Amino acid sequence: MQSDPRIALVDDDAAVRDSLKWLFASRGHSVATFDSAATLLADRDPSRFGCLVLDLRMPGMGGIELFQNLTVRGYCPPTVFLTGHGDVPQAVAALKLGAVDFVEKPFDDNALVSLVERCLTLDVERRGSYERQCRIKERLADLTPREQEVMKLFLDGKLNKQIADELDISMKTVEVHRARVLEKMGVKSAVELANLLKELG
Amino acid sequence: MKRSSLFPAPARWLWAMPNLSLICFMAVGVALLWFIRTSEREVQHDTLVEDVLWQERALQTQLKTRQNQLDTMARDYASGQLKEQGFHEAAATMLRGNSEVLAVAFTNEYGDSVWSHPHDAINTIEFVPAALEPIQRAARIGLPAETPPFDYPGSGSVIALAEPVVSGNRTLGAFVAIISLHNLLHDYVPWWIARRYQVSFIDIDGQRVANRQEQDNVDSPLTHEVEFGGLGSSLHLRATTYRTGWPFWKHALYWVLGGLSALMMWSLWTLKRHMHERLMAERALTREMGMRRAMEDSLVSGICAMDTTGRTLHVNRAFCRMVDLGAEHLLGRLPPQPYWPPEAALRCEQVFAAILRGECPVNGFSLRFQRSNGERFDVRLYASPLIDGEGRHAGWVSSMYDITELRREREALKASHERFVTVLNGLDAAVAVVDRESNELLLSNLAFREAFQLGQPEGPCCALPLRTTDAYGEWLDPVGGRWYQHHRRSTSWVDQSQVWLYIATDVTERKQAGEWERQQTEKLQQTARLVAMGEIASSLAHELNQPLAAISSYSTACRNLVEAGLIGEAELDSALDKISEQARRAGAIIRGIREFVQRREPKRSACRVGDMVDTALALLTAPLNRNYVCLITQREADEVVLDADRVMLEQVLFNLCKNAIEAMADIPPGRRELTLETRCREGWLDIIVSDRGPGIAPDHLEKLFMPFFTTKAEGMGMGLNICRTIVEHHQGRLRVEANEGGGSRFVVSLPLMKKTLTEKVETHAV
Repeated sequence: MQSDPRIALVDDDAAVRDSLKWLFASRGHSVATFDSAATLLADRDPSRFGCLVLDLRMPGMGGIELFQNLTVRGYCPPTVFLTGHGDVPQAVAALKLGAVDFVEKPFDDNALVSLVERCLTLDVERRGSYERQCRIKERLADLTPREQEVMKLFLDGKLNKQIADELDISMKTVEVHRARVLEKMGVKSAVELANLLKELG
Repeated sequence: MKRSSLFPAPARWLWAMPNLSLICFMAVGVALLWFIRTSEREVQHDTLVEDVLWQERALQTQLKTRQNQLDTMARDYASGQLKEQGFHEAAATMLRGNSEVLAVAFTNEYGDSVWSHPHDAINTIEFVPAALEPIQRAARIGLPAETPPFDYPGSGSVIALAEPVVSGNRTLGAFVAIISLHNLLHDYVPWWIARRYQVSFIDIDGQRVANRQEQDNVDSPLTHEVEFGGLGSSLHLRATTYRTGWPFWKHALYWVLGGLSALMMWSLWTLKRHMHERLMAERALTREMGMRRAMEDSLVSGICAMDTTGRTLHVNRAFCRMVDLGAEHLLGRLPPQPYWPPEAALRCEQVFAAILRGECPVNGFSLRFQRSNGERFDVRLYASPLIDGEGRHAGWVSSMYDITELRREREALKASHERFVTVLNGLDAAVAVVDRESNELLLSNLAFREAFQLGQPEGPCCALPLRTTDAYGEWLDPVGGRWYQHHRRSTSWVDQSQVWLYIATDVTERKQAGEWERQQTEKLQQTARLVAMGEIASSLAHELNQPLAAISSYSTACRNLVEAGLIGEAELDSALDKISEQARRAGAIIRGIREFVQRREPKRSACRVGDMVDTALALLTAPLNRNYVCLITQREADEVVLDADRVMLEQVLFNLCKNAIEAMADIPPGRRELTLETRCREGWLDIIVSDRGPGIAPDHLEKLFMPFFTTKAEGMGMGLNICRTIVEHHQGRLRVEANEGGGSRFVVSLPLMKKTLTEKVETHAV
């Protein structure tokens, strides 16, 4: 068994936690189990997990709430919700929020394990993309307000002269700003910058 | 009022003059009379003195004559020529001619009578010493003498004259003549003296010795007395005038004088009184005039008098003030008057012409005048004929009142009243004022009249619709079928009488809305119940899901391990333990549900029918009131005791009643009537619940007690089914039949116990 579990399971029912731990273990995955949302949040870094399996209905903080909480904090790993009978609309709402899928109890156990494995794969992709985006955001944050203005205008395809007229500055200054923007963003050309920013959406 | 203040000072002087002159006149008159009287008396006195002196002289002359006759006799005797015979002849002659001579005698020197004619006449003198002594003296001394008066028998007072007979140096005696004083007076006082005076001789002692009196009124102050026969005579002659009455003319003079004075005084007094009256009248008139003037001037109504041609004769101050013109601008003017505003001049002229024609309507004329500053004002003008003091028609007098303010007030009042009526009629609430005693409707608004379809609002009528006793409340108009929330308050009416003020608000819509809302709430509650049931179901599902999911997961894990060949015996054993554990858990959950759902068995005990009915009715109070259902109970079997599950039977009663109430939801509240009867018959207790609802359709009758059959929108269709089950459980019957007069009736029949009631109760109590 791996020392560092990549799967986190949050359910208030001890039997469910235990049985699912068994199940994942039978497929070679180690699982970190938490009896409530609070204990997960108290963990040193919930985002280190590759996949989260959350029970929708729990005393105290519910699954959806926990998911939202994690999303706000930063990177949230792909999440699968466990739902009981009649919780489907809530599960759908969870999907809209960005959850990967939900599984209705009682569930096809091996299908759940497969789903979690897919999530683990997805996590690798997402985590890279997320880190890139973070970097771009950091660079953007590095820009001065004037540089941001100039960047916005030249990304719109405007010529240096037009930008100078619009911002009421000299051509020379525009050129300096432009050069600094490209430098700070770590790109060679405006086209490259546009592609970079496209990733952010 | 005091007279002194009535006249001014000069007038008082003026009035003193006639008084003074009257007094002077009277004083002078009195003085004159006194003077006349005094002088008259003096004259009278002088005459008296003269007459007395004359009379004395005359009488003395007579006596002298007698003395002389006696002297003649004496001489004759002395010469011897006279003898006794001659003496008697001479004496007789003397007596014959002079009645005053009573007797003549010749006495000797001692005074003794020698001769006497008539005989013995002189003897009587001897007894009168006062008479005898002078005679003796005369005889002795030889001087004639005269005796003081003395009484002579049968002839009153007399005096005696003695003439001595002297012959040589010796006296021979004396001739004496007895003279009657009375006869002297009678014979020698002439008639004219006697008529005027009482003449008498007075002796030395002041005694009257002879008297001639012809009248009775003698006590007069006017009297005169002289010594008869010179100084030293003992005899006095006195004359006293008779008191003579005043002559008529003298009286008349006095009377005239007095009368004139009286007349003058009377006329003066009368004049004065007249003057006083005049003065008083004048003052009263002045006061009256002043009063009238003041009254006229203080009148707020303007008064204007005009003659028959319309010429202004008189205006009072108020009139001047109203038209703001001085009287000098108005008096003597002919129409058009300066206070006629140009725009209304025609109307004014018509009115004045009408007045001059004598058309004076009782309500007067309404006119608009102007003041000198051009301000217009409205007046009401009344005219009436002016009749002067002689009753002649002298013109017309008109009085006018400024009604501008009045009109404005009236218009304001009218506007206010209209506003009031508009507001009152604009109210949705029905408002009425009703006399407390007679219930007469005093005031009502449009809403009231429309709501209760009253005819004439002014006519006296009773406001029966609102004769309720509660200050607040809701009330159903049985005629209009509308609900009113009424509010009654006692208040004072305009005439201070106590009235009820009713305000009734039509709350039918609100009530319907409330009912609808209540239905909605009930629906919502029903829904909420359903949701809650759903939630219970959902949570049950969740509860069951947990162990099921765990079992599934364990078994899948086991299969995975078995397939992989990785599972050990110990692990498999543990997994199976866990699986059976979860299966037990699921079983427990299911059992719990079954217990929750499971119906309880009836628990029988002795219970009184009355108590059951009471409980059911207590539970029904709220629905009954909420639905305005009238409850009628006929409880004949309250004391009956049943061996039954009281709670269940109460449930049955409550359910049947509630159904009955709900069945009447669509009929008018006034007809909603629920009847609950309990009665005993032949070993059975009947509890009958009847309503006035639409009744039960024949095709529904069969299905009525089937589970899930319902005619109600929110019903579950279980109520009657359960009721029947409960009743049958008590060996009873539940049936339904049509109610006489509309609606349906449910009859619960329960078998009575074999044991007597009292015993049962006692047992129960123990």
